[in-house]
Amino acid sequence: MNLRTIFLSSLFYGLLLAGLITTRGELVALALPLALYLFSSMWDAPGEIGLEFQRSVSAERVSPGAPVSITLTVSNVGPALGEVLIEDKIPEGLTVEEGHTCHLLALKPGEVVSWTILVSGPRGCYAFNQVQVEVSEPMGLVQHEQSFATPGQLFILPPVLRLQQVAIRPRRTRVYSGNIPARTGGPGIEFFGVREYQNSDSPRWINWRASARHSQTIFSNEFEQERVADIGIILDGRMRTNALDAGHSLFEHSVLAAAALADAFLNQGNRVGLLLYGQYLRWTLPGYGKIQRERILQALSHAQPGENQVFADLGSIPTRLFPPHSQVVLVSPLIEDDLEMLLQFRANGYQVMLVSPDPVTYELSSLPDTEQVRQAARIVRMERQVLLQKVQRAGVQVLDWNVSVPFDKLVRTSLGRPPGWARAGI
Amino acid sequence: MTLTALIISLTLGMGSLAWGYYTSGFHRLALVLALLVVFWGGSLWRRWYWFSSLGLLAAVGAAAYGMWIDLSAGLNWMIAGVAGVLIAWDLTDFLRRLYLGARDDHSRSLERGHIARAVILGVAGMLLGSIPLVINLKFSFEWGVLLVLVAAFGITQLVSWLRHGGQF
Repeated sequence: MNLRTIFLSSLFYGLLLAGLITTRGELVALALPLALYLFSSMWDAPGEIGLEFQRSVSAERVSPGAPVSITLTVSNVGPALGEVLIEDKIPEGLTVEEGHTCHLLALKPGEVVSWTILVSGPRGCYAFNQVQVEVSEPMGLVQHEQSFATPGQLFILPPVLRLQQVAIRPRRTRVYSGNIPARTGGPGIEFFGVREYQNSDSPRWINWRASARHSQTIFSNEFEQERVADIGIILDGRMRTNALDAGHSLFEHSVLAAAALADAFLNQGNRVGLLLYGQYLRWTLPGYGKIQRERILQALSHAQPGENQVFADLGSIPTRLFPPHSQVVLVSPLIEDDLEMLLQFRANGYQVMLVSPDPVTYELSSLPDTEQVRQAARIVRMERQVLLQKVQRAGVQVLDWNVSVPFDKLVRTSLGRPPGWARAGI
Repeated sequence: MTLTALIISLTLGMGSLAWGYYTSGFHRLALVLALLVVFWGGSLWRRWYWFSSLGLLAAVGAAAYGMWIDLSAGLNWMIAGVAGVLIAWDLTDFLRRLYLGARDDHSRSLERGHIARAVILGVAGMLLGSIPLVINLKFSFEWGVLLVLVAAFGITQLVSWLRHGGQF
């Protein structure tokens, strides 16, 4: 029963009572069309809802903005339904490009109806949980509502830029061979040192110049072993560092950088873990290969900037998650308070790389070009440069990213080779 | 299709009431009823679907008043008016539900069925309401008892519904 039924019933009984009180049959006669209407609705009141739903999603993982078709099939396994309003609850954030999510229809027993909609949306993880059904008799006075679970999910993953080479030099590597110089001699490509010739050495490795200086000893070249490394990526999702004025946010750029770096490190055979740090901690355990890539991309699709008093500064990063002396990559716009934590990381022996999307240039692009704005930008930029210099002086590899420049281009120019001090093993 | 049927039924319903009053000399009331058609139409355009209930209330009130004062021009206009406005009220809500969903073959067949059913019910209601007037039934004691019983049953149902928190 809904408000319309109550309204119509009230009218009917009002006329009836008025007729009784005034003993005027005409008023009762006036109530008869309403009575017939009410009676017809009660007579046809819907019984049990015997509907079955099936949802199929054309793709479970897509890139942002790519259209995905969702087909919903409805089967009526129960009695005939005079009027059914079926509303497919589309998760917030998705946009329906084509088709309708709401359908009004009548279903005969055994009838099967299906429809397809095209949706698209920004990065995120979207769960299709339920379909809302409102069944009523044809006049719409007696209604039953029911929700049906129709599980389905859609991952809109961040775009992954292909980075050719990201040179890093962590202090400790793993035992498996890879691309990262391991600071120990052995089979490899890069020259590492000279040592006395051993029986297993290839004659091509003999260093004839060094051997010529000693009459009794032959020396051979030693190469630097290349192995895989442990890399922990920390994505800073704190609102205070990412959110800028007028609803702008650098977070999407940070996600893009984290995805590209994770992909590049995994392609090099490294073991990569991801820590989302913001409203809460979300730790993707370190792993290798394509499965780990998928895990990280799915974690990134969930990532949203948020505020939490506990994680207001980087001091709450659980450093034990990262193996000692491993490589840590922090993707963060960075604020003054974060300096201490970076110094702490360095003091603990981690090799730290900071990828910092530049908030000053980003925000400046959306502000009016006035003298005050220019002056303010100059001051803020100097503050940031001082901060980044402090970070750099602490031995952190800094990548100051003006987000108007493509990230892959920046990496090609800045991270193609490790910095000199890192090659020297500092 | 529904919108056309709605406008026709609304015009016929309110027109019947207005005509009944007009021919009985109540020109201003007839004009108000005619204006109600315009407002109802405007409410459809603005999607103020609640206005239809107000319109039905006004139409029933006008018809009851017409019955009460024994309009000389004929009480059947009042019955016809209520039936017509009832159809319009029903179609207005159906239009609201129709706009919620997609317009496809299913909705078109549903529209046809609904309009046919509403018209049949409206006409049947009009005939049913006209019978007592045509055969000039007197309000006897037995009729009174029957109506009291019906009213008591209805109130019982209402109380039961309220006690169950709006669920049967």
